[in-house]
Amino acid sequence: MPATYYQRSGLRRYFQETGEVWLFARRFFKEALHRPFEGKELLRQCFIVGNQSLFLVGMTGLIMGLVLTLQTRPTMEDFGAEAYMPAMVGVSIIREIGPVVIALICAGKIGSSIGAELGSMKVTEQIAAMEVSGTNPFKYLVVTRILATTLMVPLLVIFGDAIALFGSFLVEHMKGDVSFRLFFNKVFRQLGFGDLIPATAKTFFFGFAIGLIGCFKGYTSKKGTAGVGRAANTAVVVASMLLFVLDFIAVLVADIFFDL
Amino acid sequence: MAHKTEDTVKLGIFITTAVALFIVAVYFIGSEENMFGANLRVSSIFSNVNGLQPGNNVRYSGINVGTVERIVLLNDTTVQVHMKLDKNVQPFIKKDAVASIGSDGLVGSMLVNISPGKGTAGMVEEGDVMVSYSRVETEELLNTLGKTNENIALISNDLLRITNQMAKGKGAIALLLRDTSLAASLRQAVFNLEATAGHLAVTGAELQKLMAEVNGSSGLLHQLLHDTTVVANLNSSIARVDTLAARAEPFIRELQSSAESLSASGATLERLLEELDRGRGPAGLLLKDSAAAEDIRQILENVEQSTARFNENMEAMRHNFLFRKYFKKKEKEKEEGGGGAP
Repeated sequence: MPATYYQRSGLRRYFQETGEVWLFARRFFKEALHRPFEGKELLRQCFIVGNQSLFLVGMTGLIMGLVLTLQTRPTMEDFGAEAYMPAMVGVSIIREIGPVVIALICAGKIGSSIGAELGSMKVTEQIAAMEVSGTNPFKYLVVTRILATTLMVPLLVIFGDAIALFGSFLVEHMKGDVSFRLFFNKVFRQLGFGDLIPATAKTFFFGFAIGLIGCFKGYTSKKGTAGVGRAANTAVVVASMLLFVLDFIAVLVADIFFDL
Repeated sequence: MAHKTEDTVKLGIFITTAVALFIVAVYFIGSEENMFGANLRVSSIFSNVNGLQPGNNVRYSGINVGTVERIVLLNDTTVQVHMKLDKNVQPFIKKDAVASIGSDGLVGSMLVNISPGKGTAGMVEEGDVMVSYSRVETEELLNTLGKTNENIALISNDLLRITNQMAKGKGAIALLLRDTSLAASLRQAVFNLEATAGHLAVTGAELQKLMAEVNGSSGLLHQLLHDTTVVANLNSSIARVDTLAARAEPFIRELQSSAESLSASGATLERLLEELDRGRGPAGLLLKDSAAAEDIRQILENVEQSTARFNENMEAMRHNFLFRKYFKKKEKEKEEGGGGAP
């Protein structure tokens, strides 16, 4: 029987994979809510996801703040509105740029490392060995990693936002002689809970998505060592795409509830 | 194992720092929205809120003292704006304070401005509805600006004409600018003014000194200025002088009349003397006609001679027997009259 367009185009594979991700997520919630809890492994994963990403997130945040301010300031000066720079940069970073850029960095670093790690364990049959030894590999490997990314990515975003604002302050201080107190006074005067809460809430979903896609791609990788690279690659690509979709949904929901 | 513990500590530090940053952000945002601390809720009614939104700032004398809590449409022309203010500013906001809607700069967000009321009114209380003032609409503002621009264009045209005339040397200002002698005169006038001012200063100092002396001494001026009895006495004296003047008036009038009569007599005398001088009339003739004078002198000589002869005749007659008795009798009576009356 010749393959139909539906089978050839990969659309079927897309729907199949979406269904598999859904089932994978359902299994995660089921396993996460039942004992035993792998606390130590969770902490270890949190350390790997959180602390070991700090430098990268910090550097990204600092450069993001510096560049955003340097790029925007001349335009604001043309309008004679450089006094609004702290407010504008603050809102931009807290609402959108900070969460999305840092989540993308995390998707690149953490998503790929999870995909590659679990993929290599899968192809080297370490996961199968764990099952044989009576350890629940899903609970030990997947649940801890997804929980770690879900909890750590928001903290990394907060950390990155703070450093980005500091970077912005450095430029404002150098170019406009704005004091530290005045800068942050202006930032927080402009910000409201409608900016902070939805932006922070969506980072939990970003973290969950990064962990889920990374684990799914690694846990379900096939075709030997080539599959490991493929798993790492697709984990980053799919997670990044999913981040933008989630961001769009989050903005829509926030607009309804917080009247942005 | 030790390595794992150290990792866990590092993780703890990271989590604590991130959570602390989040709490700091929540605190600062919350304090900007007056979520912490005691609040005072007041409202104000407007016909148009110009895009004001919940969360916008409320300013009192330019200081952020609260936020707009909610905006309620009461009817087709009335909007009630509920505000949440910092309780600490309650003593400063009076009941007659006026709320108006403004914006934070040209491109800034909208806000509510509370202008201070009078100090006599009591302080605003929870739930009070403040008096509002509707600001000028942007369209109205632009219309006014348009009119102002037209006026400015007219004024600038006039100015251009004036400056052109000045450039051509017409008019007093051009003369002032171009004429060096006028400038010199002006300079001289200024010098004179300066000198006058100097003199005035000296005079002022002297006056001040004089006044100090007047104030310090007990002379007439001091009494005039400070002693009320002197003024009363003066008033009384003036009243008396008035009375005297009233009484003297008829006398003066009579004097005047006499003077007029004298003047008339003088005129008559003058005329008479003039006539005399011209030799008119018998007296004039006497004074001026020498022939007449000679005649009169001759007459007088004749009269004198006649009188002498008459005396001689009379003496002769006394010795006449006819009249002797009469004369004796007369002498006798004369003697008796002289002795009887001591």
